[in-house]
Amino acid sequence: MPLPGFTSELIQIMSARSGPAPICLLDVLCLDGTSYHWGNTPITATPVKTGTHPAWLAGQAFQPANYDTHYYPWLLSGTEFHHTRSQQSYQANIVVQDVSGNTLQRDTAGMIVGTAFEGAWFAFREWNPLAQQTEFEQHGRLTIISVSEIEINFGANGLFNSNDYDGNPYEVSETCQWLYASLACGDTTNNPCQNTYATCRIPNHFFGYLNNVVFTSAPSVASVSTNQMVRNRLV
Amino acid sequence: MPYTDILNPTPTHPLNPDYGFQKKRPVTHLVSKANQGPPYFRDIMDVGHQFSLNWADKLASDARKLKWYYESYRGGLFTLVDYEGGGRMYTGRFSSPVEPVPTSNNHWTVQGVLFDEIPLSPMITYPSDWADDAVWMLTLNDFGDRMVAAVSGTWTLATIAGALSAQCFVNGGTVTTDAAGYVYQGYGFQLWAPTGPAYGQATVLLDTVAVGTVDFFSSSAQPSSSLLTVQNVPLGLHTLTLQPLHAKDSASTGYSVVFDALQVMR
Amino acid sequence: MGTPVPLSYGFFRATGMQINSFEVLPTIAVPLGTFPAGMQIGMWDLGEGELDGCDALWIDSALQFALDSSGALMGTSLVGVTPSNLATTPTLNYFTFSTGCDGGNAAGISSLWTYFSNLVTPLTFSRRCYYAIGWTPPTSGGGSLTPLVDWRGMRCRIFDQYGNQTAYRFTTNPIWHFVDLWLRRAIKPDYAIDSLLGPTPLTAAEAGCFNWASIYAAAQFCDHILPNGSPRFSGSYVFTSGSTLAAMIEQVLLCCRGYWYEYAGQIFVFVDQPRASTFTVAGKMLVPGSIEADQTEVNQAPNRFIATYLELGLPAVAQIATAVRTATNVKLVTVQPNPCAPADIISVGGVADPTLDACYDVTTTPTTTEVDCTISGGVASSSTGGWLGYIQSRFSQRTPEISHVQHQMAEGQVLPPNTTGTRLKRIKVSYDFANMTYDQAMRLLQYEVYRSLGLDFLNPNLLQQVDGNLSRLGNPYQPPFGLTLSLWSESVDVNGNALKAQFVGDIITLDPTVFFEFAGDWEIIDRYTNPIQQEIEDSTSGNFVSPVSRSGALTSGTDQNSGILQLVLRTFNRSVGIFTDASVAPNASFQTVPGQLPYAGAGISGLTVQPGATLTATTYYGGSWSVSWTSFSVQLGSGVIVSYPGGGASGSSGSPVGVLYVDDPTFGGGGGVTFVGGGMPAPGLGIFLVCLFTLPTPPSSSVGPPNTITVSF
Repeated sequence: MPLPGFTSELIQIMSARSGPAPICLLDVLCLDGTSYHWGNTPITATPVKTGTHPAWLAGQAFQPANYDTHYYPWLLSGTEFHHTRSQQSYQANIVVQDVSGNTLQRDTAGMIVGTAFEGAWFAFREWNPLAQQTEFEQHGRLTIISVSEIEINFGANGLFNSNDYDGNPYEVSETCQWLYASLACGDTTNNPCQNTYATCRIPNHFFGYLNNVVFTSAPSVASVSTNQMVRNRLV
Repeated sequence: MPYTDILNPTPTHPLNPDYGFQKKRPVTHLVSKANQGPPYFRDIMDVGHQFSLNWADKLASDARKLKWYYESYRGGLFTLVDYEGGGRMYTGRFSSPVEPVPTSNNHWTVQGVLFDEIPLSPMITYPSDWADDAVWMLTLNDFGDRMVAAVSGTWTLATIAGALSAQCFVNGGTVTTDAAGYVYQGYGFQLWAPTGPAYGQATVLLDTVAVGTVDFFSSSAQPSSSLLTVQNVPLGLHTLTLQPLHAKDSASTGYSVVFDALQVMR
Repeated sequence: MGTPVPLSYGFFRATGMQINSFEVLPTIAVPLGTFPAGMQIGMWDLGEGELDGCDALWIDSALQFALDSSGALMGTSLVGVTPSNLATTPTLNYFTFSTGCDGGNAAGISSLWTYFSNLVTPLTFSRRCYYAIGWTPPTSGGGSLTPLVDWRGMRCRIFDQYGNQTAYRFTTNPIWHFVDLWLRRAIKPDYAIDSLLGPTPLTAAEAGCFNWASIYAAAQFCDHILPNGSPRFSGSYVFTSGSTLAAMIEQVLLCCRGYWYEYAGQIFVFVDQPRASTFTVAGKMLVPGSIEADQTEVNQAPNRFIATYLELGLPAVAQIATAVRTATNVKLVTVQPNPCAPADIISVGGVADPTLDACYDVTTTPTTTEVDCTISGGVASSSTGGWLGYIQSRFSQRTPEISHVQHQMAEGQVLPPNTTGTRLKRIKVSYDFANMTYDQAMRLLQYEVYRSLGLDFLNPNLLQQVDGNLSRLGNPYQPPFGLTLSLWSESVDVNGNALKAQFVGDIITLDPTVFFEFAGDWEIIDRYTNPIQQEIEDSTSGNFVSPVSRSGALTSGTDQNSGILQLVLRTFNRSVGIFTDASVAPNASFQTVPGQLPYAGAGISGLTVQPGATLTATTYYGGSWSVSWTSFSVQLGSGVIVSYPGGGASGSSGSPVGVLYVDDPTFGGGGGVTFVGGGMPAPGLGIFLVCLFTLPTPPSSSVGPPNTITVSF
């Protein structure tokens, strides 16, 4: 099934023997919510996602009319976008300039240090400036490969790499496997447990096993069973 | 350091480069040739003009001044006037060092200094020699491919007598959100189109900013002429958008708007 | 402790991991509670929930209960039945299971826990499917509590082509398993499972991670019922050891010829099937000198393909010659001696009179080829044909195989071809199809063989299937080719299709101007996208260079692949020999009893409602009640809002639990809202619960106002 999104107008423009090249656009959304919009030429275009404006912007003399739609010409290249019918994973390569700034501090390196770029979500597009439509789009997560005085090299990993996930992440354990206050846990009292049964706030959601008897209070003589029982420990 | 600083304000100024300097326009496009058929051409960069300049037998003070221009504007820009080329101005900087070499007592020679024009830089005077320095960009290229995009709305190709393009891009002009777009590398532009009694008005935007309104009406059909000139545009990749206003001259019988051709300053 | 928690889809047979074991010593004279002395209690964990339920239970190799393929009980259930001879026969006192929702939902489980007094901490084993058995061995000794159960596995969300969840139920459709795996492990790993309302619905952003058009189309393709009455593809697998999500997805998609990719932040999935070319490559797109063909994938490739799977059908133990039914008896006469014995429960299928296809209790076996089964109310019938088998032999291990003889000969040619004798080089490969039918496994195996190696013109059965004749028997071997080429990325073909829109799995046609000998249809296996990058002049040539390069490095440099799309292709063969839907008739070694696949459950739909509406319930002195609700809306996964009107109901008695639900199979809104005072509606497509609440206690006096509650939902 051919990819969606190719209108007849876009195809008509793409087929021309001359014209402007598609522009590479990169939208980045860091884990702290900060957004960045970079292209290989300054251009105004609709972003894929928007976020919080970086603190760096406040100190800049040039203030774009709309930060969310203004693409700074900082993107140098995006290469090795590989798609396969098998489940091979791949890593594309994105290079961003690290020259702008002042003689002491570079813009991009400062952003790298000050913001959570590792694992940042990105959308790379080849955007046809004439038809104003997207010819190619890839989403994923960034990893920092190298930072030099001139450029920053990002590895661009696919968004859904099945090799990255544990297929059986839960274990038979006396420790509850849920993250406290998650939907599966269900507690809303903002009183974190220690993932043990004794500290569990919602015991009927406890996601573990008990290997021994848990005394919630000192048993009285009346509480002790007078029946003879054989109990086998099996786990 | 402002661009208003002119290296050679007059043709006889001591810093005016020697006659006959080499002028170059670096490649800014990609050409790809397949096994068969015409090659594919795509504009990529907006690199400006380059000149290789020489100054022979200058006074030490002039050599020092040239060196000063290099040092002062390493990260900035100034204006160079090409008097040989009709007085056209260029905004840029020296991109190679100025290295004066003594040739005799108090005479120095500076050779092979590269001046690079900087795109998207303001200019004191923008190029205006439409006859010699501008190129035509029509609705259809030489291969018959349409170079204007229907960004929104319905636009159709139509043959119009007196037009520069074999076919023009026409819109009914009644929907103000309709838009046609053209992308070019260059400076300013002139919008050319035929006029006639059934046409309306449109607004022209350059890089999303409105730069003028065009009225395609005339009492009788007229061949293509320049309807709008926007000269003061720095070098770069620009997007021109034509949007109908759903307005017309009171004498007009229709609202249609037409995209025929651009004359782009290069 | 420390073992991974399993994850199970489809049909499987398992005991599970025992998590509790208690035994009351037989010295107690007085039974405690309702359980006898000597009873053994065990609990077993089956892993992540929710699982749908069980179809059969054996304890110590004795069948306790079983459901036939329609869900009817086979014979009688032994749950809670006191045997006539307690000395020799064990008693199944108790059986319950929890599907694995939040907080568990095993019916009556609290009575088992309270048996152990308050020194033992009861656990709900939340989100784990587990079952509990109370079993008393024969009083004379012997026997052991060793259960074995046939299960219906994971309930999965089912969606339409717009991403609206339309159901939540047990399924063997590998595509819904694929979606569930991605949700469970990556996209929505944290969610609640309400015992009635099902899992937390997807948010719009989560639903937006999938391309529902492709997913729905693939699911429909798998669900299509073939002439043999079975779905085209089904998947049943248990993931027990620590493996990656990739390995699980590979197993799932192996069972349906599936492949997937991500693009622009969405997951697409497809089932490999004959499909048309969507782009024509011409010479005017080809980068000169970039095309190259090879057969390296075929060279040294495996050519003896073995399918390893557990058979979901019942292996036939005997072929039926005649079947005669009277009002009180069914007599079966088999072609050969059969292994049946009195008290056996047998399954019969494939008889010419389909009303004789059923499960029977064997009463007597007068001869080695006769089987008598007592029935009641039978309609006289006499028929022939069919097979009989036993439910306990379901999930038998099978290993059929297909050899590609032409490839074996090609690889084994160590002497000139005109030398007398056949030299075959057999290289085997095994495909694990988990649990499925022989027909499904063989069609998948056939796909793997002939897609990898091309058709085998020395296989007469294959040629009969493909051509209907043997005219091509002995034709030269034609293995598939691989092809690599580079094209101008913005190419558009003569039909107005864009090259950039063609993605992995799509079929493109090379016209003769590209490479005359390799003209034809090819499948895209790999695609390398190279955006048009900045290009500079050669700085070493003595010419000027762009200012951006003068700094020494502030440039991307020249990318020689700039603007080029590189494709790796493979011969695409649409032959029905590869993509066959024709049932592969099993030979005697793999014969199963027709129509005796496991029971697939009733199906439970759950769909939650957008909050904002209210329900008011009033009870009056004496117990009568009235209920009214405001109009409400459901937001479907695509963002479409479906509205339902307000309404009311009243009654004079009934359960204190009230259920408001909608029966709207098309999700069109506007009607189908029903309130019942107690009792759940029967499950079905389009039935979803809106609100579940407890009516207020009726006032104790006729003096004073009735009791009213208002519930927001």
